[in-house]
Amino acid sequence: MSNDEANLLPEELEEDELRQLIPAILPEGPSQDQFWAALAGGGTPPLAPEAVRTAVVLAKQALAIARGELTLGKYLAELRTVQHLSQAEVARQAKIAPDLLRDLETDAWPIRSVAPAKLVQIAVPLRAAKPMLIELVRRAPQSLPGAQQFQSTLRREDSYLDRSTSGGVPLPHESDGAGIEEYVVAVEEAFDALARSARGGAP
Amino acid sequence: MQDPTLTSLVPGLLAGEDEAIEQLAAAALPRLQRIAARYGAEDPEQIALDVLVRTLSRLPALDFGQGTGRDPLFSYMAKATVLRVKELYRRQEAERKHLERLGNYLLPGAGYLGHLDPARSGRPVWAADSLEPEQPSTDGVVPDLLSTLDDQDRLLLQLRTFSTMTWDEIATEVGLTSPNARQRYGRLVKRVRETLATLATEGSPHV
Repeated sequence: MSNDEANLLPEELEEDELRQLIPAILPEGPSQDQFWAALAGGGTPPLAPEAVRTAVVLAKQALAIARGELTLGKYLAELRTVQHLSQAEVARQAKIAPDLLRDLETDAWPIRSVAPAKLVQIAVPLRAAKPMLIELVRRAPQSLPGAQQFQSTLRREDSYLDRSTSGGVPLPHESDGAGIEEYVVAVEEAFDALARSARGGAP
Repeated sequence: MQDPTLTSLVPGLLAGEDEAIEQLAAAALPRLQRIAARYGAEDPEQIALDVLVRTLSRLPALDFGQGTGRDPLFSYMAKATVLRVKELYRRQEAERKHLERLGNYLLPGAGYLGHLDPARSGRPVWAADSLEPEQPSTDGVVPDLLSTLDDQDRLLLQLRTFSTMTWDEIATEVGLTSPNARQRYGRLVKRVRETLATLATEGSPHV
């Protein structure tokens, strides 16, 4: 037990109870600068150059998503091309039909009809970055091309974010558990499991 | 001279300027990692990258015009970091509870079956999120309550309750000695709990 824990005041022993009573209170208004600065401060070491390079690549790709220039299909196709693999080779490795990979790469297939495990069997060997895959899955078509909701699906709001409590700036909040978010979570879990097993870790 | 804010980089980011992107990565990620670590994240580096991608991929849709504070983009990313930590934690908890229920179903009294692969349970892990109801919300009450506290008390309460900072770190931030900070916090907790108890009894949304 640390000195910190050994010298708790009686009231502090009920801290867990307090945490239960007060859900995630995030500061707003003038107090937020001080709060975030305090949390983020304390001699944070700078990032290693390699970490900065990785982040910059991801940032550029994320901005390409924002501009509508990068889709899930284009991302998968780019990864495959960089590795000089044919669609047939990737399909064989992922144990999927080549037609499915072709449709995915042209954003012509409703993403939720693809089993999360199958999707990550394509993406992980291609060295997809998880944050990119997840963000692109969120924006991928959820219905066949030509269906009325196709465009609205591509343009839909991210349910992770909510404008209700931020004075105009959307705030992230916990996922609403509906539709695409459930699928996204399943993809994330499958990605972690496959990446772990690829590294030789426990299942 | 103050460091440039993350918000000041937004025009350059939207224009795809390499310099702005590199500045953002170098300035934001260490701070977001620190925040994630202080909220108890297992993988702060990954969470910071998640937030970076998520934020930038919808940057044109964000409107910081009405945001408060010196650096709305940083505040936004900081909040996203905390909520991502909570999201992952809640997911782990749901998985744990699911395994516990499954264990009790298979063998009453067995409890948590941590070794059992949830993927083999016949139910996707992500469907377990709804197993436990959320805590009743006190949204609206707490901001009112916090607004009655002075700046030092509010920061003390927030840092102690919602971060993993040590007493020494917190005391430095609020400008007190460590023993004084702890004593003040003890009194503060007592006062907050009494107020919340009163609110629960009276059901008033205001303090």
